[in-house]
Amino acid sequence: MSFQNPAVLWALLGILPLMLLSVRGYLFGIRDVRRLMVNVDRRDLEKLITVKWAISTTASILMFVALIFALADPVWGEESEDDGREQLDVAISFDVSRSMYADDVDPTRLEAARQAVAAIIDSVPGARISLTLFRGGSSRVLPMTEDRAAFDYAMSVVSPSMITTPGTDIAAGLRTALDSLPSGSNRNRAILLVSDGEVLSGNDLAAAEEAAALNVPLFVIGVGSREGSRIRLPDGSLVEDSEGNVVVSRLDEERLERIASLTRGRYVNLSDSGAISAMESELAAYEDGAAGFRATEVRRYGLFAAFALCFAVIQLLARIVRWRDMF
Amino acid sequence: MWSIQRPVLLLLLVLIPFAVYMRHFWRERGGRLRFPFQVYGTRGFAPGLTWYAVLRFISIIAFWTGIALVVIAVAGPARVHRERIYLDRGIDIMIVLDESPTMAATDFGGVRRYDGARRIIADFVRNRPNDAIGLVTFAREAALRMPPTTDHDMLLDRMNELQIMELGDGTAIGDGIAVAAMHLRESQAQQRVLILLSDGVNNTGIIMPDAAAELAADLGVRVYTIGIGTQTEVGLDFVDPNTGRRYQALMQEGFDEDELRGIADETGGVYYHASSERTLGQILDNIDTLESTERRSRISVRLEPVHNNVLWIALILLLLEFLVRIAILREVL
Repeated sequence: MSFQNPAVLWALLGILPLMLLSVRGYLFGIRDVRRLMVNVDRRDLEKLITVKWAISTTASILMFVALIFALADPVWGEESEDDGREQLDVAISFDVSRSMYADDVDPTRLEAARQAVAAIIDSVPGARISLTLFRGGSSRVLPMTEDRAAFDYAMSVVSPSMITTPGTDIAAGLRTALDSLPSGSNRNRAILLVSDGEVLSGNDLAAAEEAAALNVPLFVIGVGSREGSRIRLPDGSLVEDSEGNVVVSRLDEERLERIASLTRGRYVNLSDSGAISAMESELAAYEDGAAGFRATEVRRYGLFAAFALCFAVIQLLARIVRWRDMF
Repeated sequence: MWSIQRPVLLLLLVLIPFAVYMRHFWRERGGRLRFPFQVYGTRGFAPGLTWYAVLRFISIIAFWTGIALVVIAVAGPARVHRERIYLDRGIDIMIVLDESPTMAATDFGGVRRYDGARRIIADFVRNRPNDAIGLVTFAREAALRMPPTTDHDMLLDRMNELQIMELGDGTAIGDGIAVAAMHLRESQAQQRVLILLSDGVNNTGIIMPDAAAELAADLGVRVYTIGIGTQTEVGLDFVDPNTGRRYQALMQEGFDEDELRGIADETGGVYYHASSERTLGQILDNIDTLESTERRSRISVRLEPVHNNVLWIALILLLLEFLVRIAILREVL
């Protein structure tokens, strides 16, 4: 079992104050009953109230717990789904931030990534391709097309100077790539993200969730090394921060792995041997419509919401049913 | 559009009025103490309308609304997204548009030929949602402006940004056809079509029109040729994008009908003559009909669950009722 919104589970901490408030309410209630029923034998009544209170309060609290679990959106199990798609549309989202000039991958991250993409795209000859570049902003430089000549040309001129906004906004890159997947197409859709994963702005996880909602997997290629590298610009100077220190750019693998797994895609590190062939076989399998990609996790919120309803009924019954003709 | 994934469960809503009766109106319900407060023959006392009574009423409403919302959430509410999916691949169309200065002639009913042609092309593109359409323009040189794509918004945006004279002065019809044909080479479409719009005579470029036509024919690309304009004297009006200078002049120059007809014949296309924006529109309609394809499509339905929002509201309402009841109203049960 896993949760789609695990953060909601923190709300369970709120259950404790609810319990304390209930106990306080119970103590006040017993005191009030004693005051009210001065001339009556109250021992049976108090016992009855205590039992009914315990049942209805426990049921109420459990109802809230069940609701919180339902809100955390638990999922387990899988069901396969056949959407009848054939062939492949790949939207490439390519990081052209300045950190791609770092040379911890030979010759530079940018050049290595460019060659990797060309090799991977060559391995899916029937696929249509679009190209999105991103930095602080994003831009679609090639629409979804079969025209490999146009793609080769577009890739050959990729450079950080094509987008002026500085920064690294993976979210913008993902959204623009997602937009470039044409609606009304009967093809399998995937995004190939190439980045060094140093996110400086934008909510990339939210963008990945948008892709997941559309059943578009993200195949992510991480470029760079965990140890990091200084960034040497083409003119030979090193990138420095505002205080004059040399900036070191590191590959943020956890982040890239996370957005890949959110969409049931795959992450590879370009520096690992076999990274390119792994990506090629992923795409080929996806193009053939391998069942694993089509499966969706079954959401179980309904079960927990139903539990909440049952507890509500128990709580109501405890209060509605009159016991021993007394209370 | 909304849908419910397990509609049967909505029947539980029917039980709510019954439960409300049991909880609030049934005389034999529990949670009440019985004691006499009325002397026989007189009226008893009853609480007036106090803030407590109002609060209690609101909390009761909140509780039952919350319960109803939980029932709805259990039934699985979802928003429905429908999308038309085309099952067949359309054809590939390359539009080859003349961008030479003479396209600035204002004989399309006061509009420049260039603008009139772009408007008609845009209509044509919108009518063919399933076909990949690309754009090549030419003057002294020819350039690919957009590879064949079904991303028609991007194509139209790009086309509207174009300016006369960006590719210099001249009419390289042969180069235009060759560039367009080359970019259709890897297309897997059943039909590949090139629509050439020109108002001049081939007078520059590396590739002669008949050689380009031969190339297109070899690649199995059909070329429709459209000669634009009249042989009479017409006014020109355009701004050179390189220098920013505005040109206004009179000119008398026509296209070479035989040349265009020859290209069409060589490749199995048709030659047309468009003397006005209206006739150009009819010509493209005609090509649209000639190149009609069967369009099979299905509607794909995607459900976006919205239970989360419903459950949040339910949780807040139920929590509100619980807190009001135990902390403010201090109900014993």
